Amino acid sequence: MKNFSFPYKSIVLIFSAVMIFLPIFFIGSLSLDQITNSNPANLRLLLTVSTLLATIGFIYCTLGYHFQILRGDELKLRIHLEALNISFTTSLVFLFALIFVFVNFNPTMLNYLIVILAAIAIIAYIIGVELVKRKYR
Amino acid sequence: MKNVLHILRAEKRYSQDDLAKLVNVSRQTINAIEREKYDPSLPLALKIAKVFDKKVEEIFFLEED
Repeated sequence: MKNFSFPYKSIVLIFSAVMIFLPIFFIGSLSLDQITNSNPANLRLLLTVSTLLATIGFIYCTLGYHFQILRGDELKLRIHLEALNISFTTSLVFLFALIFVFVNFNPTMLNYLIVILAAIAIIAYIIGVELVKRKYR
Repeated sequence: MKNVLHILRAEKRYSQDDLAKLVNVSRQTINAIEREKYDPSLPLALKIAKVFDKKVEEIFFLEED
């Protein structure tokens, strides 16, 4: 695995992003009659295949970028690790805060907790990278 | 941690990019080390010392030294 170069990561990333939204676009293009008269198994198959491809693609890209950073420049690895630390801490703080808010004021929002946390973690990582870069500039 | 990397580099007339290529890191890493914003790993410090044919402690040292 360490010697594998994980080629075409950017293309796979775009492909996976398209695949994860494909069912939404596809269902949106159908009329209500077409949806109600079609076999549910076909729609389920479309959803399963597209999300499976997206999942495989995202895992491939995650591993690819991980090993690319490990093999690359040590300052970039340091920036990556410090940004991950910021992202993880931010996610934990938001996890506890959101659990408190949702449990007390809006329990149905607990269904979306992981999605909200994922978005927060990604945003915190991007901001973290910029902050850490500034430190070493 | 202090260092005299920029002096040694100037003596050898290497650019930051030249040195970065010799020790297999980015130019930004060399710049951050010279500006004392980033302390290199031990393997990188050894590689840099080897390029300049010096001991690590002749290039990198603590402030109180």
